[in-house]
Amino acid sequence: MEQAVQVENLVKIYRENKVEVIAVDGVSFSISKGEVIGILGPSGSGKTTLLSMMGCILRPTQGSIKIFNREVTNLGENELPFVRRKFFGFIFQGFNLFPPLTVLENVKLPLELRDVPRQEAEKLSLRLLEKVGLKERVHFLPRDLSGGEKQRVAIARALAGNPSIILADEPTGNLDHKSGRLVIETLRELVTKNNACAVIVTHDNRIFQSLDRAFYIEDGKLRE
Amino acid sequence: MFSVALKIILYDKVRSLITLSGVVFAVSLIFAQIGIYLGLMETASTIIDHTPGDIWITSKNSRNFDFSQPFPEHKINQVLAAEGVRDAEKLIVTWAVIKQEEGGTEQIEIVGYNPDTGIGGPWQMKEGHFSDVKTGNYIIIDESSVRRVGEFKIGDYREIMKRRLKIVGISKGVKSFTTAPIVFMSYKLAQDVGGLIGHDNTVFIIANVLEGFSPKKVVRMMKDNLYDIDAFTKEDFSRKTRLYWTIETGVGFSFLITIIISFFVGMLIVGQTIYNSTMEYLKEFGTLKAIGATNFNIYQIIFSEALITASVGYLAGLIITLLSIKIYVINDMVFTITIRVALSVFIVSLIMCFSAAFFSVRKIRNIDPAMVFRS
Repeated sequence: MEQAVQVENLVKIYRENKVEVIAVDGVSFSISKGEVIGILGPSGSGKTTLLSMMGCILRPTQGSIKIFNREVTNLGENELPFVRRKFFGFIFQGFNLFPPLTVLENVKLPLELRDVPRQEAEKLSLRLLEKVGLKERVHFLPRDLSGGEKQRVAIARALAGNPSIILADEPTGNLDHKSGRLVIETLRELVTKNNACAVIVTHDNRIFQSLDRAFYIEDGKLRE
Repeated sequence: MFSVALKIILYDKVRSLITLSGVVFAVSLIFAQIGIYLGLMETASTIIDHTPGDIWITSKNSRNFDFSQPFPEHKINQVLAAEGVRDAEKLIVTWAVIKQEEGGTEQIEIVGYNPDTGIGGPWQMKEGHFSDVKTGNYIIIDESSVRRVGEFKIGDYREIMKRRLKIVGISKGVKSFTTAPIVFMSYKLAQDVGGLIGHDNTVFIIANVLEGFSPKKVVRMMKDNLYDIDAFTKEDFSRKTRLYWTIETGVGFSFLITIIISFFVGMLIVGQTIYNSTMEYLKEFGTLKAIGATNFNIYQIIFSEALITASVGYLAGLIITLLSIKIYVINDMVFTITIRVALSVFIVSLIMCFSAAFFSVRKIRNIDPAMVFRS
């Protein structure tokens, strides 16, 4: 199966006031298309730092990240937004929806960034919102949605650009058990349908059975 | 990204209204200052601008229309003999005192012109004709003088410099920068009444050039060949007069300062609200960056906010200005807004709002997209 992400010997050291903190310490692993993997671990273990580096948002101190066999750690600041736009879809714990935009407009945003024609963007977004069960809520503002509904909008937004890799940071962190399970099931289903892959960072053990593989990270060190 | 900016503005209506009020206030104030200034300047050179004539000949070193000194009227022969001159006419502008009906006196500006040609005379009459002053001690007073000289009508008499003069006409739209009422009379009568002029003197000679000659070239030749007088093209003399009042009285500086202050007040109000809005949506902008937006994409949102605010604020300011023109007219003020001025103020509004948006640009540039993972 085609490898989507290859991480080798990844290190991230934060330096503050001459104090060095090793957040990620020599992590290596790979993810193939169609896989949903989980990175579990306690708070402050380096999960989010690892996810940020994989998503080309944070630069590693050392090591290599390849996205579909292309090295991305040496790319310039001007190139990284285009890599993120092309390959990644992000889901955040706090949903991060634009409050003034409707559900539909929030989902359309990544498509606008990709210069998808307006009508086509609208059609695609409506289809995704139907898939996540929010067809009746397209003209609602985020403030009028429940936490679970907001996260499903975020999933639709993450999938809008048809990305190959979904990176989800604590997607069930702000949700009750039932909503959390529904969100993960939806994500799983859409990843399989779109032949994408997903990395879910969480400390929620309840979603364990929805994953293909799970890694555990503690003090920056990863084990399967 | 324009639609995102529009949504942000519409989402927080109270804040947007405060921002708009700032722009409307600044734009209205700028319009008011420019309109009043241009109105004043229009009155300063109104007789020059409305008098048909290519060249104005004045005494040496004359600085403006209202305070030009007399010079011998025989100079008109030298002017007429100059190369390129088709015809020339004399004009007197001087100061005098009119006795008011209810007692007391008022300073007036006398304009003495040739009633046969009407050059330098009133160009718009409410009653009578410019040639009516020809055959006696007759005057034409502008209708705007009522406040200063009291009610008057055709056939009334007024005493100017101890001479009883009959009102034979009422002109329209002739106001002076100094606010002194303008009284028209024949050239000869003005020489008599304006004691300071002298019987053989004039204050201006207005010349027209022959076809094929440019006024600028004829002025240059006159300056080289005619002794003790100055010559200006109509446009130059008009500008010189406006500049005199603008600079010498400090009126220009005062208007300019108010315009600059309005600009900065508007800029600060818009800047503060756009900056606050940027701070409020920092996480969302970070999210945009994380999902692949470039800094440029986010600048587009910020500057679209500025563009919308500037355009709507400008339009509201313009409407308020146009509605308030009536107030100026009622108060006997000349208020001038041209399309060029309206466009210039729009550009000023855009600069004001775009400069304000720059406060936020630095913040955007420094957004770390990794912040989106911090809940």
